[in-house]
Amino acid sequence: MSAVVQARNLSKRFGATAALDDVSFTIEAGRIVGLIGPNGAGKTTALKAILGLTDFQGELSVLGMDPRKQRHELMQQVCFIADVAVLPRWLRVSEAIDFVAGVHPRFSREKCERFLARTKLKPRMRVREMSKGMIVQLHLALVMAIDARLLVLDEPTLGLDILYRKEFYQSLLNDYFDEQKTIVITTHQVEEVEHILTDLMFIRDGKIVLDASMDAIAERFTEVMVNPDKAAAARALQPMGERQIFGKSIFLFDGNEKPRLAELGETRQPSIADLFVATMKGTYA
Amino acid sequence: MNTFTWLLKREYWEHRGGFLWAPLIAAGVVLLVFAIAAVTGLSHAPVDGRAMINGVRISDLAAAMTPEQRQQMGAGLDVGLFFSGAPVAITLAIVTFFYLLGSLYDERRDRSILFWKSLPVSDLETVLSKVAAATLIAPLFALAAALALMLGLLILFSLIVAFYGMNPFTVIWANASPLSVLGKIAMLIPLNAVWALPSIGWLMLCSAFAKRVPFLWATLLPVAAGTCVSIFDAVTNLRIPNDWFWQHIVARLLFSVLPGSWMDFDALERRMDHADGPQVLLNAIDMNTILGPLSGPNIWIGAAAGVGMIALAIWLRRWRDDS
Repeated sequence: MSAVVQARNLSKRFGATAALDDVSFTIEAGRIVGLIGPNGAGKTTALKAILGLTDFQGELSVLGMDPRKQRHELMQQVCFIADVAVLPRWLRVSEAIDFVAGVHPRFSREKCERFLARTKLKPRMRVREMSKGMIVQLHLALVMAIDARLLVLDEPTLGLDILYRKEFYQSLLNDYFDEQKTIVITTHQVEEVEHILTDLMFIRDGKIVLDASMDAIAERFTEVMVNPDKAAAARALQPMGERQIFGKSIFLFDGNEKPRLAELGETRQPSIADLFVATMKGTYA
Repeated sequence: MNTFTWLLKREYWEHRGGFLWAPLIAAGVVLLVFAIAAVTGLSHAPVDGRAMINGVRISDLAAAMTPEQRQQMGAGLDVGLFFSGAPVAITLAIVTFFYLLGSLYDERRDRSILFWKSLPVSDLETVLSKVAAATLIAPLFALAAALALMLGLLILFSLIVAFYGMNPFTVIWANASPLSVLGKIAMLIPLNAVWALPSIGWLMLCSAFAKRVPFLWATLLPVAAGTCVSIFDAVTNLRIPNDWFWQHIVARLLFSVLPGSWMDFDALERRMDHADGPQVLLNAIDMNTILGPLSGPNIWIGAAAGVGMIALAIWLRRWRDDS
């Protein structure tokens, strides 16, 4: 299958700052891609470009369409949850279902009602009477009942408690995702998505600084816990990050041979969060 | 149902209070005022049916009326019914004004625009559905409220007439024609819509454009422009500034949503010169009244400007990126 999203030399400037700086990337079908970056790195701009919500320079094709010119056709196949709590406060659950069923040819009312049956939401309830978590449940039920080829999630669990967050990703994975679908997620809560991602993209200052599959990342990066006597030797191998814990140093290496690192100390797979911190070092400095 | 019908339904769901309840409440208030007046009046009236007007017992009045008088009575009732709807029309204008001001602003403020934009509905359809809600949906609800008000008033009059011992069917219902009055009001809806376009366009444009307080943008900008023009006019020509700008720009941008504000009162007055009864007033609301404003360039220039501003609002909704 061809690429779901193909971006070539994507740029977007706001005044003097570049939100996207000559970015190129490809997202294949059937992947769950995490787009991770610090605040203001250009994540949301990239997503907005994909969704045809903003103008940009460069070439971008989503499902073979230009999101600037063919937004209407594109939205039949693409769905997004922009943020929590963007459902209008006056909307009732029943009205939301009726409306989406009325305007979206790929929406399944039966599916949506099945998802909602698992929640405490009642048809007469208005969004203004719901908690943040319930709003997300409703939004997710609406979106998951749409048979879209690309789902874009921009900070979907912001401000939710841990129960709702876990449930959110669980239902996404169990009830929605399959190899026909593609999901792009941006979030700050990296720990929660790292087990469901198949691909990872780090974005910093409008540039993609890392773009790899999770398998490739496991191959490439290694974390070693080194005793103080070997620290100098470890530093000589030019680690990309170093931090101290319980009197030992933990070094993060990019691409060094694993057996050689094993001689220095105990090696393990770094978490995405640690990798992120090491990659983004000095962003706010 | 197609997408556009759903969009109209959506507008109704969101603005049920303004579209449905506000005109009904206005109608209810008018009815209540009349009812209180009637009760107060009747409580002071003699109850034994011996009340006299011009030497005729009131209960015999109906029998004493000539056919011509009956016709005049009916016309008088119809004119009364027609103008009793004024509070409903004013309510409709206020509701429409604020509906339009919020139409493209509220969804940006609460960011729900991102939800609407996640669905396969074009900006063109969305904005046009809001125009249709303002020009068609809201007036039709107001029309229904006006009908309820007319029937309520006729029932009230019947009770009063019956109180004096007359037969309400021969005096009131045989003479008044609420449905033809309603027909006349309904006939004006398309004219009101075309006339309102500059206001609709301007208010929606402000709604799509303003970062905050669209109301101030919409009102202060034309008023400030009008003031500048007047001052410039007064200073350079040393004369009392003429009101062309205020009448044809400021008022058209802000107040054209008021039903009947296209009315050419001078022309109406000329037609009233030889009036010999109330029916003339109602007869004046005919095809000529409707075609009169439509035949001048004024309304069409305004409509074109309105369409242009609506197009700009559609463009802004498509490309504006601040949420």
